[in-house]
Amino acid sequence: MTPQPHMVRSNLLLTLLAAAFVALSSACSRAVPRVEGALERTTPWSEELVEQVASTPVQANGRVKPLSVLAAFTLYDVHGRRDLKYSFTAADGAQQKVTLEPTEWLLDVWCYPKQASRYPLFRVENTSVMDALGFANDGQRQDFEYLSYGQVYDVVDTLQDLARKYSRIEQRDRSAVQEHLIQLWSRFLKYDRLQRQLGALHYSVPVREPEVQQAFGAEQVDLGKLVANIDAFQRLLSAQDAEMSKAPKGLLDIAEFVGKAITNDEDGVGLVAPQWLEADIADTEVLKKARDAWSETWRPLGESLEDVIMHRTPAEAGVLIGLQRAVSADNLQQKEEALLAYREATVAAASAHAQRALELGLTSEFDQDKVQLETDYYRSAWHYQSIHWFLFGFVLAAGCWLVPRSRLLWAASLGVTVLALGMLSYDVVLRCLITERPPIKNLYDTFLFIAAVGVLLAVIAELMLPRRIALAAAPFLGALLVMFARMFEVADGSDTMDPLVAVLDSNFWLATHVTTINIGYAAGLVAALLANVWILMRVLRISHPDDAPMKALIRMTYGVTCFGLTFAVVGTILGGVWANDSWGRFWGWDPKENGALMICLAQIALLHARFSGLVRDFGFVAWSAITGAVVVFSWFHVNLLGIGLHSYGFSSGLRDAVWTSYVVQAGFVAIGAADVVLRPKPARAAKAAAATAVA
Amino acid sequence: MSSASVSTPEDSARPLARVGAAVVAVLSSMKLAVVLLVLLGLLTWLGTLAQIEDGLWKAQKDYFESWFLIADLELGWWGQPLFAGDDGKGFVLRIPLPGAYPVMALLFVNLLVGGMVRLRWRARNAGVLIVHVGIALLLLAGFVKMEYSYSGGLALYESPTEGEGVSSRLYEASTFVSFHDYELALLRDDGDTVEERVVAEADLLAAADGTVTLRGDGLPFVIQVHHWMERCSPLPKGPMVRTTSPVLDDGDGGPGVFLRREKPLPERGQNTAGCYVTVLTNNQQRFDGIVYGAEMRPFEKRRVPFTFEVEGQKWGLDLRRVVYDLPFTVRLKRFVKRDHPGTLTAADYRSFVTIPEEEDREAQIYMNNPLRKDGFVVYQTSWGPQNGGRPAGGPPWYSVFEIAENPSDKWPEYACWVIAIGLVLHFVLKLSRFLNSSTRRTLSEA
Repeated sequence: MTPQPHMVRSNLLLTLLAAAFVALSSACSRAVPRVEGALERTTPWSEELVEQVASTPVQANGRVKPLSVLAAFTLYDVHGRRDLKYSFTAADGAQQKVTLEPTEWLLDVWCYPKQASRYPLFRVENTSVMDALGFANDGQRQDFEYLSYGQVYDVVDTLQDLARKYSRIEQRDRSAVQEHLIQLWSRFLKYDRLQRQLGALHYSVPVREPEVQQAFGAEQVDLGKLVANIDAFQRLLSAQDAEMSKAPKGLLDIAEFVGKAITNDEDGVGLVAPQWLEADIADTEVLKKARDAWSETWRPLGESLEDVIMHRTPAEAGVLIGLQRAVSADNLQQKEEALLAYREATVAAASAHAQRALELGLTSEFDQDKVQLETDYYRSAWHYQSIHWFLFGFVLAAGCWLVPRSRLLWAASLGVTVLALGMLSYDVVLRCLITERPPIKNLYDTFLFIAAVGVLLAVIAELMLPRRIALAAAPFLGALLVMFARMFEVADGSDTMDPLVAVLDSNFWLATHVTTINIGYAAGLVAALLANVWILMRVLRISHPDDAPMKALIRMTYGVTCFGLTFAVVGTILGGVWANDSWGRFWGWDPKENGALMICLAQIALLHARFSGLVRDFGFVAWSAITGAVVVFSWFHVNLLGIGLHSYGFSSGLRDAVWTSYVVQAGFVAIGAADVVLRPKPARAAKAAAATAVA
Repeated sequence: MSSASVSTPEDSARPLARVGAAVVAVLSSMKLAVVLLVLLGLLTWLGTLAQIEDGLWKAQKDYFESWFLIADLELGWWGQPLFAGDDGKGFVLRIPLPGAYPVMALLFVNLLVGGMVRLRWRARNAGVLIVHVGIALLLLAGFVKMEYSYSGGLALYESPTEGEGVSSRLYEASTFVSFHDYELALLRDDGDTVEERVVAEADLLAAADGTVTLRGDGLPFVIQVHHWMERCSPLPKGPMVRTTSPVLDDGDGGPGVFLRREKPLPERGQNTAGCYVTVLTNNQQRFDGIVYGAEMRPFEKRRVPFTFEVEGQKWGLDLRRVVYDLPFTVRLKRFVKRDHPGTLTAADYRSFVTIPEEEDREAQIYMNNPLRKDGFVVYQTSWGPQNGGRPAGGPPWYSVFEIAENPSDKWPEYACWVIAIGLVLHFVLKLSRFLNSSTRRTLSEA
């Protein structure tokens, strides 16, 4: 095969488009938002500290996870980006740009809350939102602005009123501005809640009475001093009369402060590892109940403080004192030392608790090795690295079109794609090891899994029919889906490894139904991609429909469709069998079930239409391409409908991607159809096509 | 010489045979299969979208349990209405379509005739044949479920422990109640026993616009049912309240009570039906009452029917969800719920039940692990109260089950195996043929 003018032209066109995209992206990049005034912390957190603190175990949303993961997903949710950028004027007058990783940002939120409250955090994309909140319009707004927590705090009453008012409107009837204000309120609350986790440590109570000062050894009493002198505090309290009517004001202030500190972070992040109470272990009844409804619950600061004050868990006093030091130390180095000490103490306490649980015949979900593995997983981000290699593989595949006889380029492209597939697969395996689950637990997992299966299918298709088409489709699909996964991860802002609800808590069904149906999705997408390539090649006259490459494409599309149909049908029925065991009915016309059925019906109808001669080559590929849109509908769109039992992955950010895919798909099919009508095949070619029609 | 034409039986049967053959040809045609599959896909898509406005129950009735329908498709773009009218809704396209009943029935016939009987029974078609058998079994399972299956709910409290007073709470049962359907029960109180006669909801619906008169052998009265309301609320008649419904004496000198008609909710199970009843006895006595279908049965033993006395005999009328019998008793011994730590999300909730008829055989029912017995399946669905539960010190748990009787319970699972085997066999055969084909070599070498 020699390079044809059409092919060269198409490659040039693609290159120009890519260049235009890069140029446009650069032109659209905007200046880093400024933080005005002096900052408390201008020296960066040390790399060693960030690395260590990243793997500090905390408990949130029902599982123990690295602190870095908590930081990352909270930042994604409230900020909509993977990092936070700002610039400030240094002491020497120079402008400095800062990029904070999620862990650094969270450390600032907890240890430098005043500074963090000035960071450009909440993205506002609609000027009407700014107007609604009463911000002055300087007439120079770009397509979005960042507001700091402090700025939003100043208008919090207005925001709360508007959000409450608009929440009463049905979601689908809300305007974009109303929806945006509700989301802003939700993000504000999330940040506020996070900030309050250590909020009590930033306050101290002034005491004037000598006996109180003597008891705490200070004129200002913070929680650290209180915990360190808890016996003296209780002696002072017990010396008062029952109504505390004549108690020193300082003591009353401290008591009130403690009360507020205990309730300040209710239901917050579990920062303090659980501790066994010897009395509980001795009580067989307590242990029996524990076995019934056993869970290792970590406590937020307030709950832990209450236990320490009540002398239930005196060993936790050290952890609280360490946290107090981390917050109130005068310089960065002291803060870092205190944070490292907190980490060590937490890991030791959690490990001891887990060990004891096992000795008592209970289970434990805590394993610091797994926390470290998860930290390393996110640090390595194999799936992210695979994007670069997929793109490289695609470039090499494009090179194959220009130099079709080069076996070296073909092998290099295939090798690079397989390498990227290996990275992606390793990423999926790591997720399985960390969660101790099959590959798919939620919508995010489907991206990675479908990408891996899709690439594998395309690679197999290329090996069976080496036309350099599936070779390019494989890395393209891999890069595209993994990029979508990255975008979804940030847009959704929810930890992708959080525990499952009870109905999904079945490794058997996750491994069978969920995996099977997603293999069906992957095959449907690959078939659609190959079908679109066929349309593109015909429209651009890269190849004639009767030529071998186009015939090969039809065969590949057919083969992948057959493969996908097997998995889609079996997966759909397995889903029904699962539903029969969990909800009491095989089929309930739930949107997700319907979506799966639509894929099966589309593919069965396609194959029957092909067998019966209802469709020829173009009809076959157009139908395959539309089946791809049906896959997208089933995969995502039903989750946007806001109905049904499978509503586990709602995300308004997906809507644009879904509709874009529909429009692109419809465009391809429409252009292809117009081309067939306006430029029909020659008669000779038609006969030849009939003779070689694929059965 | 005369000539006479002699017609043989074969000749007269020929046109009929031709018509029959043509019908069979159409019914078995692959093109018909394509049309039906596309129609079913279209119905599925439109039925899914209809659930946004109508809810699952109505959409299911309209699209998947009907012979014909006019589908309303609201045009939208990027989640926003297209060609919006004054009401802010997009332009509605009205599409006439056959319902899923005729489509699936024809598909079944097409599958039998074209996909099994007329299919060439060759080794190369073995996979396809097996797949078609599996799909036929699946469709059959759906039909059997639709026609012969019924389901309902049951809520049981934990059994009282020793020394604990037995209250009216229900902790064991050998009946369960329908989620959706009502029945009007006439109860005759014979002292120790209560004899029941029931009238199905379908026979009462005509009372929405008129009166349905119920008579029975040996009954000294007739019952008139009127003002049937699919969803309603009983309310006291205040001085400022206007109503077109009859206002009945509430018996304590108050302003009276009436049923207020409410707009039915999309999910049928959420509607509480009610109606007025008038009992006319043979000796010209008249009793007027309201029966209201608020359901207490799953949680408590007692019911509060409308009662009256005729010739010294006590009678009651009770509008209730249909009560089904279980051939065994389920007793909730213990309920356990475990949350994901630090959250209110349940990680696991399970019921420890016993079957008294089997010497208190114990079984655990939890998500994905139902109890199957005597053709019935008992599933764990929910629990309550949300804020309580022992041993945390709250009120006692109750556990909510769904119970279904379905003769084709396991058929889909068997169909799944059959279809999987058929598909794998077929595509492995195809693949091996392709790998050995000259076409592949030709394509590869081109």
